[in-house]
Amino acid sequence: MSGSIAHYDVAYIGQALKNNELSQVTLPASSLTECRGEIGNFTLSYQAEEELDQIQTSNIVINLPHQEELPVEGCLSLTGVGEEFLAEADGDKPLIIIQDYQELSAAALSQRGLKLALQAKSEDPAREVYYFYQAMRFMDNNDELYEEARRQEVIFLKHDLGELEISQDGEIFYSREDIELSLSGELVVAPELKPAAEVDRLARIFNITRGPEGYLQVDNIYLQPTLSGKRGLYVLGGARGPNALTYQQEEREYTLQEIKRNLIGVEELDEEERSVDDQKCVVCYTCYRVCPHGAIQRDEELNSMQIMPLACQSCNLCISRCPMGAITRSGEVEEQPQSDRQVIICENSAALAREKADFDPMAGLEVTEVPCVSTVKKEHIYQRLAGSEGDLLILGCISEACKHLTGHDRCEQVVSSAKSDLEKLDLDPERVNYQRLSPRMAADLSAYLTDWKGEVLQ
Amino acid sequence: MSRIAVIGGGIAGCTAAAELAAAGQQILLVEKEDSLGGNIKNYGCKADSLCTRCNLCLVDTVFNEVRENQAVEVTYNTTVVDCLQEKDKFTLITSDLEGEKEVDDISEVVLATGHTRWSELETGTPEIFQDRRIIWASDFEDMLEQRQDQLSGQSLEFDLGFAPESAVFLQCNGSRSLQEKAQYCSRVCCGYNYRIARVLRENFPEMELSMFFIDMQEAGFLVNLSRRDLQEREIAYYNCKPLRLERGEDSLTMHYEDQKSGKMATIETDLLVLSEGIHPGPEHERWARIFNLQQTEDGFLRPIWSPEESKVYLAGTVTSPGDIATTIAKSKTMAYRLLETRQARAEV
Ligand code: SF4
Ligand code: SF4
Ligand code: SF4
Ligand code: SF4
Repeated sequence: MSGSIAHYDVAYIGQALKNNELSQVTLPASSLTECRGEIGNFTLSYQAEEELDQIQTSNIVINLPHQEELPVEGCLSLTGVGEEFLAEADGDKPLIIIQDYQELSAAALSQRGLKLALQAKSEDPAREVYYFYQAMRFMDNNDELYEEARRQEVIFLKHDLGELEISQDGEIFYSREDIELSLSGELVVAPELKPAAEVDRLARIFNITRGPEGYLQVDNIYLQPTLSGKRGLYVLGGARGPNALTYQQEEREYTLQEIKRNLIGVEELDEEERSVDDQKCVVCYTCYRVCPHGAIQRDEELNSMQIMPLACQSCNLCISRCPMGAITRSGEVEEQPQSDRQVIICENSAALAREKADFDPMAGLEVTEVPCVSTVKKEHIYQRLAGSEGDLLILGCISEACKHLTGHDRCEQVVSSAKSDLEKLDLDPERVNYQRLSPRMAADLSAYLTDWKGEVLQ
Repeated sequence: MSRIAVIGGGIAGCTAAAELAAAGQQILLVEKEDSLGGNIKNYGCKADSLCTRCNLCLVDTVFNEVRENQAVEVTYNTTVVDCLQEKDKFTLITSDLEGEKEVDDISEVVLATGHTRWSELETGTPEIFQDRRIIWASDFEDMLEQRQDQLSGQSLEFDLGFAPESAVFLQCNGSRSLQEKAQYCSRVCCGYNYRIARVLRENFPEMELSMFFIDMQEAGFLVNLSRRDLQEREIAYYNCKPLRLERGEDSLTMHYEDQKSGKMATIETDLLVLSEGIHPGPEHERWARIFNLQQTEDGFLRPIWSPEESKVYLAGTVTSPGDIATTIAKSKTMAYRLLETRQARAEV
């Protein structure tokens, strides 16, 4: 199709990782305008000089630094001081390092602080070095650095045990039951780490849901620490999360290894195929917005939406949300269970809990397993209730054990709205129920079912 | 076809085995106990009303994959006692209930035998642990695991034999102290004890909860642990390690130095939950000897030669303490490296 576009193994948004086996390209986050395609074959559009340009890539890594906020005005940042800072230092002035000034600092910042303190001592053993902190945080060999710094007589003072004040002109007052200190010197403070610049824009371009505080990873539920919700898109550092620096070394290595692995070949996650009927689709973008994994894009030629098979993680959310019923799944069968005790279970939690239990807690029940309970619509509930005299229990996931991010909430809303409808119609709202489980909750599963069976029998 | 031997069927070993088998390798998984799972086997879900992201429930899929994949042969109740290396192959001497055996034609070894918990080592003060009011965090994990869920509001009397109205958590046990044979921070205990405290708070809103920290650590990715989080959950925070424990008839009394005022103070509690550090596994000396590895000062293993040369890959907590997510990531990286080296060798 577009043979002239260069294809790379990996495209870095932000900073590239060291590696000389992969073909790679680096684009600044600000230049990026669009991403199409899926793992193995993304097309990125970006602003190059005057015009728009495009590249193709198999994988994408977003590696941007955190934004930093200094809790104290006019001081130096622990992440900003380099070699020359100590070389030019005035040895008569004490060096004052402060971490955890408001929020507890990440372990990576403790490491910086400890290294700086030790460097200062090795340049000039006579120089006074004060280190104010609340909790020393450990990663790599921080514990060794900490021990060494104490041996070198760096003065460590916990400022949650005492009062620490920093005046406008950078003077420090510290008081504790047994200590009164007033100091002035070179002040280096650990900054607070915030999500990288441009993460909002990137989230929109890649069509991925953002997590707490706006980082690009909602949760690392895929046993792959740096994977975003979209296959083939990895997030590191300030794009990933507040503690992303703790295991940075391992995670970089891990990401590169996984990319190499992807290059050997990627398979679809599911045997079934989902497709959009271009005659029915009205391009309302509902499916595009609900897909938690950025697996849907518009097909300009057909003027319809298109599901990318490698990117799709088979939650069926799109199917349940499409107002036109335009999306179908191969192998879908419209059977109508007529038993008087029906259970709909999510394959990510209740189904696993069921396997874990010593005996099948659902024996004798009409069980339907779904990839995500969010696919249950009110109409399904009514159909099932109308088709039999019995009750319906829907078992979804405990909050973040949900692989599809918000599926459990949606289902709960649907069930409670169905209940209130039933109530309005003077029907028994207790005929439909919803429970959340974690995959490990086999005992709870049995308990819910026993309770519920008991009620049904009454 | 020669096989890759994975030693240890905990989360690190199983992750590696699953990953390697998925890539078409034949695996021999040697497990010393009679089931897979290792340390994690006895852990329980630590969700309160929300999942606290201990990542435990993610691992079941890994164990299932190992059990179901035909390319992985698991030998239970088996240990590796020696290893002979000739040319490009290893021969392992294994020992099981029936005696010693030779397993040859092993192309690579993945060593994933994990760690020892502090509670499994000699503690010096065993009489304390005959007191049912003092438990290890792992006892609590066991309890959660047996219930296979949260406490569901049921009284603790069911598990402990009494219903405590208060609990104190003691951090840095078996870590960060020369006497306790570990000078390093074990990095996971702040996180799990905080989660356990949350589970108690959720199920027993009336209970008085306190935690003694030396330095509060990060509790894993996306989980905040700060004084504010403790405050919100009404978990009292103490910034020191208590100096003395007094076992009274009615309650336990902890004596500590209130560092702010510089004076001694006490706190009474019905239940004491001890964190426990991660210590090197019991076989580390043997592994160092038979696989030519180095032991760090702390007793963990380090390669002398790169695994590409030695064909011995280290995965999980054999190299240093780490949480579930890190262990998985580290052993996946190892598996990928192994595959990559194999491929490169095949191409030559
Ligand atoms: S939700 Fe349905 S109609 Fe709307 S864009 Fe998607 S496929 Fe088309
Ligand atoms: S099934 Fe789920 S992952 Fe796949 S396209 Fe639909 S919403 Fe996206
Ligand atoms: S607390 Fe742990 S075991 Fe429980 S649902 Fe969350 S990640 Fe799973
Ligand atoms: S994780 Fe916490 S309790 Fe464990 S050794 Fe480190 S500081 Fe102590």
